[in-house]
Amino acid sequence: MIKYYPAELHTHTLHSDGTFTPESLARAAKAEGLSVIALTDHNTIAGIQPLSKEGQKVGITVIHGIEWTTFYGHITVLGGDLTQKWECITPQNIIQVVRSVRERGGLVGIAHPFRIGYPICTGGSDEWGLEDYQGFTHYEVWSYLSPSVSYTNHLAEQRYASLCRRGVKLAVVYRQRQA
Amino acid sequence: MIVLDKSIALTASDTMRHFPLRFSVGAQPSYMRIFFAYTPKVFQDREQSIALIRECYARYNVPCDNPQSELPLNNLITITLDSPKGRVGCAHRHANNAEYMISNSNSSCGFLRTPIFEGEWEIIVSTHCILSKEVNVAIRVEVGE
Repeated sequence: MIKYYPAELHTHTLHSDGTFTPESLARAAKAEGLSVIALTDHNTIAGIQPLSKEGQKVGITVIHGIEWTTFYGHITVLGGDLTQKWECITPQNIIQVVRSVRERGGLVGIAHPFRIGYPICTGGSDEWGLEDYQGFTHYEVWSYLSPSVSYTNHLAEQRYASLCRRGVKLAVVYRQRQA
Repeated sequence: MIVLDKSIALTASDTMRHFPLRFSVGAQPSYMRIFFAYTPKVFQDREQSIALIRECYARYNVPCDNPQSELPLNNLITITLDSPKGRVGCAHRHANNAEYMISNSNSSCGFLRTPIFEGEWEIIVSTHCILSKEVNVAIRVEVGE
């Protein structure tokens, strides 16, 4: 029997541009009823150790992660080797980089693929130019606040549906809570 | 002791680039302080900002009903730090004037705690968005006991 666990797989703390401390994020996740949380601060893993410690204390599972915040798109990496240098990732080597992460046990997903990009949020949009997302494991269809009414999330839904029709297998990542 | 003191003058054509700044650290000090600033933060040209926002929304096929809601547009520059033993961290945040401490017992948010190893260190200045005609970056690194 498949068992489902409520999880938030894209979070930030004061270690990048979030507002939570790692400790308050763990407590908020627990209060929200989540079983699992992944820390995906922008281009840093500095918050993982304090979040893991607090997660253990309050009783939630913490996945070690990072959000590679490149000029071409944002990518959430969950588990595995998080030491890849984000500034070296380009559309030319992305498939090779993803393969390397997967070989070391990590999962790799496209974050908020249709967010508005440069000059509002450089790299906020998926500009990798990929057709089949070879090696990727998940695709963030709903993100940010009020996800079900967001126009850019609807674009992501359409793209995800089109990928599914073409046989591309990616787990769908979404959030339910309204702003 | 100052181990790096560098100014960089950037223009809009420098957007989406990485500037590696290498510096040497001598026999293990106990801490490192990084002073990082750039100015201006805000792109002040309102008319051009609105035009850029409209153009941007069109490029992403999103209706642009209220371009003012995206104002102001900002310059965004981040720094990433490598020690001789690997990545220490990154300050990916919007503040344009910040001081960061690195040491074995206490590091600023975004950076791991680490001894200040002797050898070649590197700071990478990454220009995520440069809109102003000229943006001036100042970066100074000090180490001490």
